[in-house]
Amino acid sequence: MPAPSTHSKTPTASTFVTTLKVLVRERSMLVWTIAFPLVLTTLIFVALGGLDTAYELKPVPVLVVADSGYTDSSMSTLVDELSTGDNQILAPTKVATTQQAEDKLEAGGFYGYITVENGEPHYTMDSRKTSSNDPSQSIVLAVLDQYKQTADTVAQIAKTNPSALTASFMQALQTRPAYTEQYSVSANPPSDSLRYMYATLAFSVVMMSGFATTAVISLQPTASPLAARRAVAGKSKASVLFPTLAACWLLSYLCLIVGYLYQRVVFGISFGGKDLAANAVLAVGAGAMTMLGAFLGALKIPNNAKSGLVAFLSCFLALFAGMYGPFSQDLGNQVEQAVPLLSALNPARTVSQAFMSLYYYDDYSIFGLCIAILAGFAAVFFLLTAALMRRNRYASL
Amino acid sequence: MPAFKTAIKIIFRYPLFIGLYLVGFALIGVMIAQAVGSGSPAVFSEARPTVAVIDRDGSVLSRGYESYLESRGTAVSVADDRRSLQDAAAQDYADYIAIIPSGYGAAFAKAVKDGSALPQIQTVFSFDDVTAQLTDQISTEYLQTVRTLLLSGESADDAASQAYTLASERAEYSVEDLSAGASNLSRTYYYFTFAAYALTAALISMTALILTSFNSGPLRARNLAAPVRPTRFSLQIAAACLLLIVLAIAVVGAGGFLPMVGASGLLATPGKLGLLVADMAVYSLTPLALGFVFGQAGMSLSATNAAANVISLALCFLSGVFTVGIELTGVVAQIAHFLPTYWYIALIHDLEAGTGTTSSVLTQLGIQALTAAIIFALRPVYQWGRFLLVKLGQPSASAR
Repeated sequence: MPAPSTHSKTPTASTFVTTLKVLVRERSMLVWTIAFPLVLTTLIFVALGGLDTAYELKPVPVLVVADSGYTDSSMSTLVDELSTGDNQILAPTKVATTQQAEDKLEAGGFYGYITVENGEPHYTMDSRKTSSNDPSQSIVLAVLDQYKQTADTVAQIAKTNPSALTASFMQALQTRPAYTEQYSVSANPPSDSLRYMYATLAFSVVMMSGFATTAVISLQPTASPLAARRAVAGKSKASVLFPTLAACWLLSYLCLIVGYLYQRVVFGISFGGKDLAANAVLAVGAGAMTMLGAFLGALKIPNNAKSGLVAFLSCFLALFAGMYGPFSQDLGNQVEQAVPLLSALNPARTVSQAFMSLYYYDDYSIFGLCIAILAGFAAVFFLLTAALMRRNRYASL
Repeated sequence: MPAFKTAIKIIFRYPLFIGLYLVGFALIGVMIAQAVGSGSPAVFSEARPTVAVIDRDGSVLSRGYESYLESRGTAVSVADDRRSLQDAAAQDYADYIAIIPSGYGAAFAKAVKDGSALPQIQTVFSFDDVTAQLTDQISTEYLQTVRTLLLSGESADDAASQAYTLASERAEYSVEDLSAGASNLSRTYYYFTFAAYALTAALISMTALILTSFNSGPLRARNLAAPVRPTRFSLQIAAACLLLIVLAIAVVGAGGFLPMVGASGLLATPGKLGLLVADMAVYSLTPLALGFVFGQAGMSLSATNAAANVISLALCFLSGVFTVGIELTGVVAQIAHFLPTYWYIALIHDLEAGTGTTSSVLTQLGIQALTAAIIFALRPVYQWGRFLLVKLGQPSASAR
């Protein structure tokens, strides 16, 4: 392929275009970098598509020993009431004896069985369904608690104030009025799978630092004969560094846009209807990571180790953005509550939080703070890079 | 063994690389294992939701309600403004937020006495609807008891006070042990499950580092010209890569013995420990093969690292490494059966639960080894195919 002609361009524009072309021609890196959010988004959507429904209440399948102890108690009314309607929480299957309940429990498919003996409820749960991640057993216990508490209360009233146990009182007890109503505080309904999607984009943002690392390594005269020729071209380091970083930023931003559009258009991932602001997060995030990548590229460590450093940083920082599942999300939240500054200094977390703020909040104050943090991050690392590159000497006198 | 020695030198020339990838990933695994609620094998422990109560009333009833709810869960503080409530929803700080309106206590007592509609406590559910519904049931327990007492003629304050004691009475339960040896998954299990990610990402990148170094322009030319048979040369590189696996297993495996990860049945006997090491070793062959293929294909180290990220995360997501406790279903479950990571975790699960058999262990290790063999064979098969195509093309060329 003939070398592109850059005679008509200014040196700065020429450096910008050439850097862009060099990075684009590093096809394998470009392909994998673009592929990352596409592959991960698809996988998360396929693997965790049912994540939000996994957190929706499904009626808990339980066995009920419907002997006389059960049918004569008001437990049967309570269970029937909680087994129908929009807020159904139990899916009971009636059996005649405890032995039948035990046989069915052993066969699987039920969380446990309910018995009532002498007015006292008892719940026998399957040891195979006692995972701490599944609160279903606690829900069944809460139902039994309600029955027992009402029964105990009536028993106390019968002792202390028997005249109160009128027919109207007993009739009123048979009804279960609503005590609470749900209230929405966020601009959009809570969703767990969105955290994975936002974390994927945040991970991609950090990965973009790889472009600047590669580009800045290529500016060091000892990197290659081409780099040596560029170093003696009579141009200041600043006049080469600025367009190089600008090219890296542009390429990073374009790669992120591909991932963003894929999430937005193909999978309909919501950013709270604030697409322009979401793009601003990507643009500023790309800028911050370009500067971080430049800093890593300018460090005096073996060049081969630098790309490893970029990859590890992406993985490590994404941990606190919630990339690795519920426990990683909890860890990120714990760090944010304990050391907010440390959390804010994590660009993956900040990018993820910026997206979350667009989805959940009415106003832009958290979003603005995230943008300011990322911009500050970019400024600090640009200054550090400039200082490092200014001091570097190669085969000097 | 000059090539072997050089490969080893290459590995140790990048202590930062080894430190970050092996120690760093092991550290991430330790952090994730620590974030897991309980490290001990338990029977049944009741769910304790995180709850926040915003009391705008301050009555005896609202205070009693708050005390009761907090006694059954973990109390967190959320300020009474829209921003804080949105924060709690976005950050998942609370499973359930109850907002008690001003004048609620008096209005509740009056409504019960009059038989009119009850005032409502406003609730904010997190995305974890199941836990929020549980908390709603707990709310109902207390308020139902207060209502019963009010119906009997008790005063509002007396009803609220007595309800706390009465609502604290709990129904009895027992756990039917239907699966000997089954228990909640331990921190050690989570750690070694996550180790799949650490081993994949680290070994792809580190193997590629060796191969990339050997395949860099002038060095490759010198190696090709050296009086060493290519097979012997490749075997030396392979030996160095196997040593890399030993190093990776030693460092990543050591993390599983740290006190904060905790011991479990997984490390109980030398036999189980041996199988765990064998599982890690056989699984490691897959990322080693991938790194080998990438390195041989001449991919740059930056591209290899990006590829390592994509592949390791993809394997782990599809095999359920990051979603332990959420059952894989449908097409994902079917795809997972073709992935070595799935079988690596399956063996660990069997070791943890004590449910493995000789045939299941051999199947799990066999599928992992087969996957690695297929990946290793990709390049030779590709080159052989190209060679055949060239050979087949020659007669037609000469015919022309």
